[in-house]
Amino acid sequence: MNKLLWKPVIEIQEDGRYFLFLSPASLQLVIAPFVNASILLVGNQLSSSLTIEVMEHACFCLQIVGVDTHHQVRISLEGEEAKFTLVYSGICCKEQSFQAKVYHLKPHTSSSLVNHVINLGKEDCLIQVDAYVPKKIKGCVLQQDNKIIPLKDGRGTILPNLYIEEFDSFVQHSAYIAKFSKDALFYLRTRGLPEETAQFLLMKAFLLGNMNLEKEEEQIIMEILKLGGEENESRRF
Amino acid sequence: MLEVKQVVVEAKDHKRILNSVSISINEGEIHAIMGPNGTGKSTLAKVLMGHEDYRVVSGEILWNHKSILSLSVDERARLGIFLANQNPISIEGVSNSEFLKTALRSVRGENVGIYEFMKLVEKAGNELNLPASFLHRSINQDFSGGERKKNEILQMKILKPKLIILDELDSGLDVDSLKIVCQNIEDYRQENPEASLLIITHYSRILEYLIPDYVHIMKNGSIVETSDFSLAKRIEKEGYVGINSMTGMEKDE
Repeated sequence: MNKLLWKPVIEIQEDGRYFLFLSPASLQLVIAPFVNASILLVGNQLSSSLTIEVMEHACFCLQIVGVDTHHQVRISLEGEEAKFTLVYSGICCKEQSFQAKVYHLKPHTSSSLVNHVINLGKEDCLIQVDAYVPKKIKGCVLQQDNKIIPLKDGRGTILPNLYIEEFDSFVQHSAYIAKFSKDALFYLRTRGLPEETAQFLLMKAFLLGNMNLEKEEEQIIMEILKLGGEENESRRF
Repeated sequence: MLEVKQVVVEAKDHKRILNSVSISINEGEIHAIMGPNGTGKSTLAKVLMGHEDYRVVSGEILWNHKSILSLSVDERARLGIFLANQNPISIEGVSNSEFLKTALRSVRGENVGIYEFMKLVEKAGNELNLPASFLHRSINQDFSGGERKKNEILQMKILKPKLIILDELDSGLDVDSLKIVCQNIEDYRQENPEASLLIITHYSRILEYLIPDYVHIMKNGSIVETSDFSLAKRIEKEGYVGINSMTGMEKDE
């Protein structure tokens, strides 16, 4: 059962999955040592600033989903063997931006960021990810996967910055801005799916495929994003 | 059922790929198109399906006497045209079950109950020796070549098309799998005698299982010879070079 978070400054001391309804503009999270926790943050038209400290041997996963959001996330890996995973899935109808800064402050820390945005509007959308590994902080692992799919006239900008001062680091990075694969659309349509239905399936896979969701969480997200499910794809957006 | 009348096709770069191709497929018939690599066989399959990379410059494609040239890919699929792809692609994140259920709803034009759907898929999967877990995996993700081809035939069995285009179904299939797949197609034809097949292949091996009424030889974007199954056997024996000499065409470049 998910627990509801409501305090503006929170120390997570117990393992668990948490569901976050965010109304305050800023929130500070401290993940206590050896805690294994995840938070799902869902909401549209949100602007937030999250500061997260992950202590030694803690494992923390943050999943963010929303339409027209502006999120800033600052992550400090404060203890050895701290692990952090961020999955951001955004839809841009009018405006959107996502900025993350990851600080590997202790050795043998790891971060994995998967940021996917679909741009349905005419404006530019943004993913900016900065990651830092200072000298003498050895054995860090950094992985980033940033993708923007513009479906209409809007554009996308991905700004990945890796500031790695320690050679003993493992770093992977990808940035991709393109439409959905024509071959995938063709394949789906050869089975009778109208173009918008085929596109809907690809959108859902792109946004939710990387997330670790329970069934009820997926249903909430579908409702909040107004994806509506396969029965109602015509009413989305 | 399907009439292709003197169709001329160009790619986007205006390169001509098909030259005045004509073929007529009636209900229940099996046609095979054979030919060496790069002669336009797969292009013809994609053109019939309405692929946007190709433009029909002249000629006509009729489905039950009505032109389908202006119809989109999915509209043609909903008419009952099914293309079993040569290289079925994988689509990460879209599960086979969600895809199939959505496709079935699109083709039938009405919702399909989950119980009926599961029964259909379970039966078809068992008949094709596909593991039950495939349903919850992404489309063709981490599937072997053989599993991908079986997945195409599973989709065929669920969606129940009227014209099935098999584009090099035999490539990537081992002997046993080919036998299973062909048996499933034959069973489908028995249950749906009005269904027709258009088999695109290099080799006559698949035609031993699905014996064609007509065999067409394609060369340089044109059909150069049409006959019965004996033509496929002749190709097996003499190769396409032998056919070239018979039709007065020069040997392969």
